Amino acid sequence: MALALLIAVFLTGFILGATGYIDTIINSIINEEVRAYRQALTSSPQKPPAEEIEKLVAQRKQELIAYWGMDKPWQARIIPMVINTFILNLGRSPSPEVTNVAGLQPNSLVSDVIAACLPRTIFMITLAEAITILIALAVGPFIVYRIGSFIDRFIVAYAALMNAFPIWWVALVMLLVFSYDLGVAPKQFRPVVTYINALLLGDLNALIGVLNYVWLPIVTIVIVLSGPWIYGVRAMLIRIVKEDFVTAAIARGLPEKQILRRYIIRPAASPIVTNVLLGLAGTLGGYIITESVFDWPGMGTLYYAAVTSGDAQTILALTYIFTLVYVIARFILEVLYIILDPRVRL
Amino acid sequence: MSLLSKMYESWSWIRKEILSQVSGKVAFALLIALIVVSVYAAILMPPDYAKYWDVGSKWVDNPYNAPPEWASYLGYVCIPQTFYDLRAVKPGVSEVSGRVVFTYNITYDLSARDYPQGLRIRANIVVPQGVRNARIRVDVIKPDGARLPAIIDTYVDLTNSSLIDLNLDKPEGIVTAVVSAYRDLVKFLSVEEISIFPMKYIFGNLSYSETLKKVETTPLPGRYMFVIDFSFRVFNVQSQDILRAVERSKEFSLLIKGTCYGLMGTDYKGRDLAEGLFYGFPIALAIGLLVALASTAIGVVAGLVSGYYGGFIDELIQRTVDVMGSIPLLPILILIAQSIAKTYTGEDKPIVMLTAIFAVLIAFSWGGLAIIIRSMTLSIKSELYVEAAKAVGASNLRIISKHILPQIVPYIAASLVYSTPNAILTEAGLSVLGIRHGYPTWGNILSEARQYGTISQWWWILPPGFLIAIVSLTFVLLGLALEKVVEPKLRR
Amino acid sequence: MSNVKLEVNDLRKYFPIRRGLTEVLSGKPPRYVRAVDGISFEVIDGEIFCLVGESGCGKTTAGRLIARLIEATGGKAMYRVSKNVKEMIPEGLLVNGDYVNLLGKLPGSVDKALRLDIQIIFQDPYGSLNPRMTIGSILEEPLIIHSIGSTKEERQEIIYRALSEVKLNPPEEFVERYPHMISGGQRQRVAIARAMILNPSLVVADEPVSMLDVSIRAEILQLMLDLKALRNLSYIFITHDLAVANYICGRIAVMYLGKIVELGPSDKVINNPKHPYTIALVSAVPEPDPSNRTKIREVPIKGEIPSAAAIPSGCRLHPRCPYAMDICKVKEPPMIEVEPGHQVACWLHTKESTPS
Repeated sequence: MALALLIAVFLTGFILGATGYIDTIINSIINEEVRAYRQALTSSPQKPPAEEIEKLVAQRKQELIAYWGMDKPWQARIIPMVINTFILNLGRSPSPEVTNVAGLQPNSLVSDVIAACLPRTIFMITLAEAITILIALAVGPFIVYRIGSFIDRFIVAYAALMNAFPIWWVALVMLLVFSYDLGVAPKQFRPVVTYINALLLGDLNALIGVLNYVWLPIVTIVIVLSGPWIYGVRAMLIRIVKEDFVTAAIARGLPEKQILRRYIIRPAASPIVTNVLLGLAGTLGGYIITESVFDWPGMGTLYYAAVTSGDAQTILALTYIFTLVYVIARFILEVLYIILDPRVRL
Repeated sequence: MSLLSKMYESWSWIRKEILSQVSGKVAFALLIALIVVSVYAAILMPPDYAKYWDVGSKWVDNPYNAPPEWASYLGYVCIPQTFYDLRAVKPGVSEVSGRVVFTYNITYDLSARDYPQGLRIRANIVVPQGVRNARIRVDVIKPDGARLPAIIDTYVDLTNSSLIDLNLDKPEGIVTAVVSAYRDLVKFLSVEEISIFPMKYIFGNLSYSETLKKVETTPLPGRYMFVIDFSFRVFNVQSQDILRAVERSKEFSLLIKGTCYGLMGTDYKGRDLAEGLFYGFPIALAIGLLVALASTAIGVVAGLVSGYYGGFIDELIQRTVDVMGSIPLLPILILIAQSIAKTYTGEDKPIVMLTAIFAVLIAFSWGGLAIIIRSMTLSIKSELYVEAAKAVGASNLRIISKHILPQIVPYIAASLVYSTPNAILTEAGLSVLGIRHGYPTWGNILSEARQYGTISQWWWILPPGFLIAIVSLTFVLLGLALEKVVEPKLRR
Repeated sequence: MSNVKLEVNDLRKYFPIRRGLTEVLSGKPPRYVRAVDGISFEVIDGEIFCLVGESGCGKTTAGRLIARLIEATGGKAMYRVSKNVKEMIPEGLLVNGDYVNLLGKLPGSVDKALRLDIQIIFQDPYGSLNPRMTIGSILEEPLIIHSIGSTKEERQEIIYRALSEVKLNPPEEFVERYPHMISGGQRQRVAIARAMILNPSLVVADEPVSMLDVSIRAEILQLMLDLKALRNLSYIFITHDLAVANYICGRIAVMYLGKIVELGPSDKVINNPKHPYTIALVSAVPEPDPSNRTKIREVPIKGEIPSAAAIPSGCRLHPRCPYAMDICKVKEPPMIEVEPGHQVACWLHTKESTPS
C-alpha cells in the first residue's frame, strides 16, 4: 500500500516533468512577465535608450529563470520536490490562481493553502456523502424486508436512474433552476469562505450563512448519490437475507427490529463499512468536476487550478494527500475487519 | 453441439432473462433504438467529421445562439429563416448611364416582434465576356415608410467565377443609410450603437426617448421591401445573355437570418445542434464500447492467467491491481489530459488526447474484473472435472477455454455492460471541466455551452447532458436485468 | 519380468507445509506432509491390484501419482507401454525395451500418449463430470484431444459403443442428457465409459463405488470385472472397504501413513492377516455369519491415526499398537516374506522368519 503512495507521487512528478508540461507553463509565465516588463519600460515617461532596455529585460529574464529554477533540467527540480512531498515538506505555491482558491497571497505555504481549502470540501462534499450514507443505511434495511413491493421497485428504479445521470450535469440543471430561474440559491459560491472561517473560529451564528450557500450543492449530491448507495446497501443486505439462518429466525417469530439488527446487519457490516470508509475517503479528490461546476473553493477546485497553472508543488502535494487518505482508510479497514468479522483473526 | 449453436443458445437464454423484466424490456428497447440511430448516423456522417464540425463554413448561414423552431410554443419570439432564390425572380431590366441594371424587388414580411439576426447575399455567377464592374446595391423600404439607401453597396469581382458573399459587416454604409433616413434624429443617433446593432436599426422603429436621452429601437413588424440593384458595364453583350447567365448560375440568393433554427437550435457558431447531437450518437457508443471492450478483455486475460497459473505472475497482477486501486483516478486523469492539451502541438491533437484519456481509463478499470475472474478461475480450477479433463489429456488451453471460460461469460457480459457508460461519462466530465480534446462529442458540445454560452441557452446546455444520461441509463438498466443472470441468488 | 505391467519402487510424495515468517527466520528445516513415504509393489498383467487403507494413508495420492496427475517427489515407476503407444515414445525414454518411467518430467507428447494407455476413474461421480456439458460432449472430449475419429459421425459411433459397453442403453438418449439428469450409478458408468474410450491397458480406480448406494455397488463392480475380461485390463483398485476388496481384488497392499505394511494375495491377507493394523482392519468389518465371529481374535487398536506431518519414529503404528516392543519405537521394520507372495513389515514377524 505504501507502494501505491510512492507510485502515485512519482508518477505525477514524472508526468509533470517528462511531458514538458511544467516547463511549458513556466516558460509562458516567464515570457509573459518579460513582455510586460518590456512594455512597461518602453511606455514609461523616462524611456531608457534601446540597448539599455534590452539589458534590463535580459537581466529581468535571468532573475525570473533563477526564481523559477528553469536553469536546471526538470529532473533536478521535480525530484527534490517529490522527495520533499513524501516527508511532508510541501513547499510554497508560486501560482496566484491556486492561492486565489484558498483566499491567500501568492507564494503562501502549500500546507496553508491545503489547510484552507480542506474544510470547505469537508463541509460540502464529505458532509453530503455522510448524509447520503445515513439515508441509505436507514432506508436499506427498511426495504430489504419488503423486497418486491412497490416501494422497493420504486427505489430500485430511482437508483438506476440516478446511476445514469452524471452528477455534474444534475448540478448544472439545479443551478439553472434554483439559482438562475428561481433565485432561491446563490449564483456565486465563493463567499461561503467567510462564513466557514467564522464558523471554525467558533462563531455559531455563521452557521446560517454557511447553510445558505451549502444547501444546494448538498441537496444535489444527496439526490444523485442516494440512488446508488441505497441500491448498494440493499444488494449487500439481500445476499444475507436469502441465507437460511435468516429464514429460520423469521420462522421462529422474532421481531423485525431484532432480526434486522442481529441477523442481517451484523454480517453485512463488513462490506458496508468498507464502502462507507472508502466513499468518505474518496470525497477529497473524487469530485473535482462537481466542485468546478459550483465553483466551490475546495480541494477539487484547488487541484484543477494547480493543474491549469502548472503549480507542481501543489499538484504533488494534493496527489500525495488524496492517495494517503485512501491508503489510511484501507489500513483502518483491515484493522476493523478483525473486529467486525469473527472469521478473520490475526 | 457446434460452437455456433452453443453461443446462440446461451445468447437466447440471456435475452429471455433480460426481457422477462420491466427494466430489461425498457433497456432492450432503448438499446435497439440507440444502435439504429448510431448506425444511421454513422452511415450519414460526413468524412472528416471533426474538421467539418469545427471549421464550419457550412454554418455561416445559420443564426447564432438560436433556440429551436418549436420554442415559439414556449413563448420565444421566433423569426424563421427566409431564403430567396434570386435566380427565379424576374428583375426589372434597365440601362442607366451605360450600365445595365437588374432590379430585384423582394418583399419580406416580418410578423414577429423581434429583429432578424442578419442579412446575406450570395452569388456564384459566371458572366459572359464583356461584363465589367459588377456592382450590388441594396436598399430597404421599411413598413414605416423610411427608406434606407445602400445598406450594402459594393463592387464585386465576377471575373474569376468566385463566390461572392456579402453581409452587413461594413457599418459605415448602414450608418449613412440610417442617418439619411432619419434626419430628425441625427443629433441623437450613436454611430457606435448602429455599428454594433445594425439589425435593430434596419428592422426597428426608431424613436427618441426622453428618459434615456437617446434613440431607442423597438421591433417593427410589417412589410419590408428590399430593392437589390445588380448592375454591370457591358461591352457587346446583350442584357438577355447576362440574365440567362444569372438564371443558370450556381447560386444567387438573399438570406434573411431568423432568430430560431432547426430541431435543437444553434450554438455560438451557428452550428446546427440537431446535427451535432445526431452525429454524436455513434461517437459516444464507440467511445463507451471501445473502452469497455479493452478493459474487459485485459481484465479477463489477467484474471485467467493470474488464477490459473498462479505463482509470480499472480502475485504481480494482484499487487498491480491493489496499487492502482489506491491511486486516485480522477486527479491523474486530469493531470495527464491537461498536460497533453497544453504541450502537444501536433495536427492530430484531438485523437492523441482522446487516446491518452482512453489509455488511462482502461488502465484503471481492468483491475476489478481481473480479481473477480481470478477467484472464479481458482474455484473452477480445483473442481474434480477439471482434474478429470487433465487425466484424459486436456491441455491448459483447452481447460481454460472449454471448462473455465463458459462459466465466466455472464461476468464478462456484466462487465461490458457496466463499464460502457463509464468512458462516455468521464470524457464528458473532462470536457465540462474545461479539458477539451476538440473531437465533436456530446461532452464537447457541453463544454462549449458552459464556456461560451449562458444559462439562458437551455437548448444548448441541457440536451447533450440529457442524451448522455439516456445512454447511461440504457446500460444501467441492461445491467440491472443482467444481474439475475450473474447472481442466481437474487432470483426470487 | 515380462508379465509385470507396472513396477513401483520407493514411490514418494511429500507436500511442503507453508511456513510463517517466524519459522523461516528461526532457521528450522521445512516441514512436509509425507503422504506417500516410499512404497514399492508390482502390478502383474491382467490382475486387479488393490491399495487398501483408512483415509489419510496415502492410497489416493499414490493412485494420482501413477495416473500422472501429481508430480512425484521420488522413486521410480516402470510401466510397460502397449504396442500402439510405444510407437509414440522416443527411443531414449524406453528402458528394457518396453518400459517407461512414469515419474518425473516427460515431454508433452509423451505425457499425452501415456494418457491413451493409463486412465483413472474417480470417486465422486458427480464432481468428475462437468455439470454444464452433455454426456456426449464429455465423452467426445478425449476423442477430440487425441484426434480419434476424423468426423463427427465417427466420433458419434465410438461414443455410442462406449455407452453401450457400460450398459447405458439406448445410447442416443444418454448422449443428449446432462449429468444432473441421471442417477449416481449411471454417472459412474459414464465415468467408466470415459476411462475406457481411449482403450487404456491400465486403469486406476480411486474408490469408484464408495459414494454409490450399496445396492448399486455390486453392479458397478461387476461391470468393471466384465470390462477387464473383455479388454484385458489391469486395475489398480483403491478402497478403504475391505468387503469390497475381498470381493474384487487379486492382490492387496495395506497402507498405513504412507507406507505399505502388508502385501499379498487377497484371500491370504484378509483371512490370515499378519500385521496388527491389518488385523484391526479386518476385525472391524462387520461379519454377517455369526459362526465366524470366533475365528479372528479381536485386536483392539488404540487412538486415532496421527497426522502425516508428524509421523512417529520407528514403526509408524507403535503409538497405537498393542504389541509394540522397544525396537518398534526406534527402527522401521523391513518388508519380510512370511509365506510365498505374502509380505509383512512388522518386527513381530521379522524374528520368526527368514529375510526374503
